[in-house]
Amino acid sequence: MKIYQKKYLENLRKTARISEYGNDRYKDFDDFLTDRSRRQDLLLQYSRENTGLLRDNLMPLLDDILSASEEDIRELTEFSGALMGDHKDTVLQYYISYAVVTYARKYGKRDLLIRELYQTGMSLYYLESMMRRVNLSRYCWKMRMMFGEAASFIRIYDEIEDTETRGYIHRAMGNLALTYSVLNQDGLHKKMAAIRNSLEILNDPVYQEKTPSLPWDIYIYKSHQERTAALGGLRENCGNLQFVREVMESAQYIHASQLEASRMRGEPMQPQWQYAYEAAQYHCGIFSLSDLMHALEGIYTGISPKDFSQQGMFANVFLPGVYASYMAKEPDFLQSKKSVLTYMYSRLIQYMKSAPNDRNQERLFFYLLSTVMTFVEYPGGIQLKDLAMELIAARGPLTYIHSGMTARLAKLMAEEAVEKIPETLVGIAGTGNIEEVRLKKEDICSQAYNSGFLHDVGVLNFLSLVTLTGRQWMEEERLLFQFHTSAGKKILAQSQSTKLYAAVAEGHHKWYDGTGGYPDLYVRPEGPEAILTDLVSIADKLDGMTDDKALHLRKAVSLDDAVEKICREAGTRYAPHFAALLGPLRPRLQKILEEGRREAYAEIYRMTADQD
Amino acid sequence: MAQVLFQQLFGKSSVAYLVLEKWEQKLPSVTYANPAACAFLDTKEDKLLGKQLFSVFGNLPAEQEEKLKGCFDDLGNGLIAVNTQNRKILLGVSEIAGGAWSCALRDLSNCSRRQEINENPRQKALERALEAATAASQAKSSFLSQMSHDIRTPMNAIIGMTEIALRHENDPVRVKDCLQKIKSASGHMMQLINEVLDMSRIESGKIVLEEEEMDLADFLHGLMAVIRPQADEKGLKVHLEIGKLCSERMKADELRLRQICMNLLSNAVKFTPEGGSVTVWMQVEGRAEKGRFSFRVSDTGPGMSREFMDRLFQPYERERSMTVNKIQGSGLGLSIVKSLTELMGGSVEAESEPGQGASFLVRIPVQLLEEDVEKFSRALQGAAVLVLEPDSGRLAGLVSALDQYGIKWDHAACGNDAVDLLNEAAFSGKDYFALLTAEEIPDIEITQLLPEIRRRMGIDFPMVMMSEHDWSQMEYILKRSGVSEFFPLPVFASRLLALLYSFTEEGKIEIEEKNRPVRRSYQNRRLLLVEDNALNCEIATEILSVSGIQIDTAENGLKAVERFQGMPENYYDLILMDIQMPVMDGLEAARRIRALERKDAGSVPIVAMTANAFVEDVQDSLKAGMDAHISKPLDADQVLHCLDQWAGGD
Repeated sequence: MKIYQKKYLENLRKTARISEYGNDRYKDFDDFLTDRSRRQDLLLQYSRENTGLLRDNLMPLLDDILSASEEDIRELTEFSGALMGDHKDTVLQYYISYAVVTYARKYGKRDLLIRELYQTGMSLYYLESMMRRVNLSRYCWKMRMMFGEAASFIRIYDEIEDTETRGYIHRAMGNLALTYSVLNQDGLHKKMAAIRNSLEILNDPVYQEKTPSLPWDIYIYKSHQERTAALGGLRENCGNLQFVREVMESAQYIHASQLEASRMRGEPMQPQWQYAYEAAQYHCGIFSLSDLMHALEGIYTGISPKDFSQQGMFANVFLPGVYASYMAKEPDFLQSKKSVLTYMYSRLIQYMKSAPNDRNQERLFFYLLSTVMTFVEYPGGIQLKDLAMELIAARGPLTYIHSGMTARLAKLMAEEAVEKIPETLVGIAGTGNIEEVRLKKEDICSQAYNSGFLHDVGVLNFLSLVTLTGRQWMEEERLLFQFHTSAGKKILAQSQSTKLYAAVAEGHHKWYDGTGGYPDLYVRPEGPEAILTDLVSIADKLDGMTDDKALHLRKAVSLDDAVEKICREAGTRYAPHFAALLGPLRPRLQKILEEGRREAYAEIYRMTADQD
Repeated sequence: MAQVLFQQLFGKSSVAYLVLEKWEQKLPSVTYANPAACAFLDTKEDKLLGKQLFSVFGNLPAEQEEKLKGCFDDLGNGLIAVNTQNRKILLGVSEIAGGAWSCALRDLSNCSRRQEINENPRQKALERALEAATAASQAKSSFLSQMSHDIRTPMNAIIGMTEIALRHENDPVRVKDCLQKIKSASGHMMQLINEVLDMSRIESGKIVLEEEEMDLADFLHGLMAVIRPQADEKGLKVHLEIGKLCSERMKADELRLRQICMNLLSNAVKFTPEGGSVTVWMQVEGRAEKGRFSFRVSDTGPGMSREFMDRLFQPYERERSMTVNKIQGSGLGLSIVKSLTELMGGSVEAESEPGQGASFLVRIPVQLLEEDVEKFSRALQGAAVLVLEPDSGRLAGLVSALDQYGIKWDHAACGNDAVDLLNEAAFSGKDYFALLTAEEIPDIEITQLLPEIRRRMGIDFPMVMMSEHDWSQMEYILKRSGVSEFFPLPVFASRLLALLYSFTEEGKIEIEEKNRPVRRSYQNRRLLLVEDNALNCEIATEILSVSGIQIDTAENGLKAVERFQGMPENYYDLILMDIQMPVMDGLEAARRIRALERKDAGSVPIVAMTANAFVEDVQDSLKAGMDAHISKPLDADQVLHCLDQWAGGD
């Protein structure tokens, strides 16, 4: 690797370490704040350095990839391999692999082409996973193009001599299954077909004889593993009998080899595969729903609430979601199993609070969001709103500060609006006229507060982009991050307690007059959602501009400058009647920005201290 | 003389007639009244003679009398209604000689069916003929007065605009504006005049049909090329539907057929209010000599009243609402349609109700010709195409054309399905011969999907984009996406076949350069290429040299600034600037050029060359005064597009 590449990776490692936030201990709160600033300075420094390294060395090479030397390409692939592994700079890896694909195509370098098509597909898979967690999709088709092309070399298998390249062909073929979502019939159907095709070749003795040194067992095992993911589709009633049979076959295959392995290790069966086995039996009709629920309870209770391993995470975070969605199949269970589910949810909250902030975060989010998507709310029970707030607090301390600040600012503005311009609030909290607005001041302010608190819940899904990128964003990252609005909407629209705030999460970056911002397709709603969105847009901006210890690395400006900027854009970007409140509110805003922010950081500090 | 003549002619008529003559400027006076007229007016002839026209009806209110006088002055010929105290009387006035009129009187108030039956059939026929004559005569008169208005209006514009242009002959912008308005006004007038002349030629039987071979695809696309811009301007949607096409070549008078269809189309566009739609349906059935061409135009306009429908195809008739809505036209369009259609042995039907839109259908017998497509089908035998088309209606037209010639196809309704089919084909060893794609698909940006397919399938893989729209607007973007050809919709099987044939080995040899669009000339354009990499410089110079553009190079920012400074103003039409260069980078160079004190410093387009840019870098290049950025390695199309966009070709 070139020196700049090594340096880049080194800086990426440092960035990750500094971003692993909340695992350090401090003397006191001031020490914590100083450390926060120090970290922020360092992050900024590494980010600048890495941006410069790429701009000076990598970008010119990618721009002229066709004139790159073989040595350049070799180093590039090594570099992109490192970015894919522990360091995880997915977007950069994607750019590099994709450029190498262009190079390999141009010069007819087949082995290189196959490998880099596979790598490009993998980078897209990681990006797509981020989207999939919140039921969105963006990279699927391209991923399928990459894996599909790499896999299509199976036709000239014999001409390819390199064993490793043959391995990539099989892997690409197996990974085609990753490109389909199981939650709709068409996707499930295609996924099952892809796995069937792949397994057929993997089990074909002819191929195994041709390349005996490939890890065939692992390939086959992984394909079966992937097939158990179809359980999600079966749960949604998208399957048919053939699929059920195939899933059962795979679940049994995995179960048998797991059983063997756990016997050798002398440990119990891993909950993930145990669950797959039990669930497959239910879908086959061997078990009743009640048997399955019982089995799931058994798996769940067999795992410690403090087990932070992957399997522990599966049981503690993912299983409650699975449990809830099976429960929903039988209305009686909704009542009879209420206490079990409530217990699972409260344990989940505790688990999130104490789970370490490490590289397993991504998996944790995957499990967590899938559970959020099937959340069952009981009157008087745990509400998604509470869970989401806990989630923000526990998993994204910096988001928590920003959310708390936005909530405070939105609330203050709402209080002022009730006094000065109550007519603009008519509609919130079921009010029909000015008089009611005054009477329901408390409800209105609490809704403004909640809107502010929850508006960025979707950011959690994209947190790694912010904390781990370690350089300036590329266009793709900027676009990807913009999906935090849609993600927030998807999360909040699930439940009664958060429905109202879904529109705020989706619309807080769209301009007041609709001429700018994102998402493109967002249509401004009528009524209370629109009013809350208008308040939050301003509060969000106000906090964002004035905090320099926050999530995004940027220079803070003074309150006066921030207010001036917002007022300049009143009518286009911001609601003019709310922007006009800011001027007279300045002293109170200043107080919130100083004391409120300190308080918010203090809460985070307390939380880190509590973990001991 | 007149009295004698009329005594003989009308003395025994049961219809009441007066003969009027006019002396000097006064209103005409009665010089003869037949016995029926005396009975009608319940008086004797001598009491009527010498009386002015309207005073024979007794004392009319002064206001009505004034109005009637005015009417008579304007009219000369036609129908005038007079309301007396107890009757409503219709006067049919016709000029029979200079200053002499006949005037038939009819009581409308007691007009009943029984009365009509009792009338003598001969008299009735005569009376009807007279009424028709007077009505036609009146229509012609009102037409002429309307026409004189219609012709005068554009003429006023032409004269007025010419005067303005002459007064501002030193102001080219103003003159150009005037000329454009003159052009549009005279075009409109020309159309009116043509229609009048056509009608008179038709009426006098002077039209001779000239049958020739014609191609339906050309025919329809020709019509659409004229009508779409008009429809777009009004925000109307135009739907094309193709029925059965037994042949796409036929023998007919194309010019007249075009006139018929164009008249129907422009009426539909004219009468359909903004946001409405016009649906065109075309069909050709039968065989050889016994072919039939059908063409229907339906709109969502205001429709027509039943009364008007009866007079619809009469020359010079216009629905009243037309004048109310200030819709211009001669009122001849439909009668030309009817006359020409009938001349060709066909028929025209109209269907409409007020508020329900209107639909016109012409059916014309034509001779169908055999199509020579065997060569095409032979070359394409066994070829399979991938069809990416989300719209089931368009898909049906397309696949029926493909089926007709035995070309195999797989259908993808969205981008993801297309990717799946490509993958499946790759596994099974099936090679698609071409991709036929819609311009928009529901799940993926077509401008992202197509380049990816192009990269994978290679440079020779034909990708055809099918579009109903004028694609000149998006040609650049889509060509950049790797589209090989455009195919205008609706699908004509022989056209599609010919296009697919052009991608076969045989076809490629046959298709000459002449079919390819001629590139604009860039011979007088100058480009400054700022690039430190000598190889890149050479490649760029090479790919751009075919366009004829003159290229100067500079190896760093400083050299570029010096070079720019050393040339006269407006020497360069475009600067392509690399960003990272030794001595002085592109950003600094752009800033320096923008800061120079010369007229073109602010205006010369500067385009950055870099594909992989951070968000901030893009902003920086804009901040430094650059206009855009394009990716490397350079591609001739892309650079020339930049030139078109920023500097314009010749």
